[in-house]
Amino acid sequence: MARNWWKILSALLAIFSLIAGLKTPLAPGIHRVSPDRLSYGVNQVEILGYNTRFSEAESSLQLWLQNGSTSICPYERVVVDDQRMRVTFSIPEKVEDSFFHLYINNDLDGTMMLESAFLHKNLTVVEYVEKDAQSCLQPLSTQEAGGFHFPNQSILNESIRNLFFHVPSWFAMMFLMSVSLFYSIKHLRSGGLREDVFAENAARVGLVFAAAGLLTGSVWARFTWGAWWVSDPRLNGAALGVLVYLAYFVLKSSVNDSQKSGRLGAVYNIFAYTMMMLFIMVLPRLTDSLHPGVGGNPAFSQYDLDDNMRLVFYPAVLAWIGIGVWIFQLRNRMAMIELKRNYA
Amino acid sequence: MPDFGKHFYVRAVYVVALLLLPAALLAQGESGAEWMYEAGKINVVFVVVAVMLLALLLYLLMMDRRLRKLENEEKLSK
Repeated sequence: MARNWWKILSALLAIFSLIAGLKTPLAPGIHRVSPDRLSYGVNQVEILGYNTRFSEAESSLQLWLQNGSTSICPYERVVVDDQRMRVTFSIPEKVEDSFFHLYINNDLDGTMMLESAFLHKNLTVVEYVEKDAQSCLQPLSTQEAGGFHFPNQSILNESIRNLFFHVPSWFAMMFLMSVSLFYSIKHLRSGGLREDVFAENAARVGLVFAAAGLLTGSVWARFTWGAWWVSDPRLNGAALGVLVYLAYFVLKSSVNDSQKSGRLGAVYNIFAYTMMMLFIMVLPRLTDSLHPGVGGNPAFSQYDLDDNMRLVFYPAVLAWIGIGVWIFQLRNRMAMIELKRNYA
Repeated sequence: MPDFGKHFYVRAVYVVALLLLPAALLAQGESGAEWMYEAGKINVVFVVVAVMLLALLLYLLMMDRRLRKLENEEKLSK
């Protein structure tokens, strides 16, 4: 029992991240507006909220459009239910920006914003618009929604929770590849068969997590970016990293002499690890892409990972690393029995 | 040296094919995938969790088979 505490801990953390990751509600947000184009004159639009309480907090409800430096307030507003309102705006002929951002504010939901909620239709975009009676002086204040929740980002929506499964999978893969590198270097120093087997097993379990990472990423990409695979530096880098490791197994199994295959494999592993690090960690940061954590910004900025998500994300990382190491050790124990039998 | 790498790619291809099966089924036309966009795309999360667990379970299954082989050899040698 004393030796197994970390296995139990990993399992508990995994259960925690699963439950907390799925049960925590998303912050209130603006789901959709229709129609999403505004033209000169009177425009009636329907606004759909997500996890919002429009009617419950109607007394404190504020709503406005932001266009450049102009705020446009509705002149009529009908709250249908907690998730729906019908709003009428009067849009001037000249505007400062082709996009209108939508802000909704109330005491229960806090301030919600839908960026570029509306596009203009046949309006004249000018540098500066004289403020007249139509523009209002909101926003008065912005406020936070109460309670423990995850951020509600457009397009991502609930799928933001995938972060607790997709990203830790890659972390576990990196950890196991580092373990593999450690044993490869140890093998080069000692020449022991044991270390070679350990290095191979770690890479193998690492590849399982890489496969899970690629596949979960693919599903996630399909329903946020619209394709199973997008040609993106981070995605292609990850795929190349996996291929580099597949070649490690091809190389190892193609040499029959165990000493020779061990040595070759260990040297190649150092190369593979470096390449993977370059492909996954370095190269994607040099260019722009859809994937967070690319183009210079690490994925840990406040926009990608807020404090509430960290509370679930880091336990998930520990959990999957722990489970990976657990499987790795089981694999090793099996391999040691095989090794003993074959040399008995 | 026991043949640790034997048939590894064949198995890897099987595993990937099995894991891609749900995805391939989902890809049957745009109309079939609409449920993934419902309720704030929460179903995407369920599929992702399922894929994660499936990947680990398949690997456990592979280990199980290998252990079974080892046990059988043990029996034979006795």
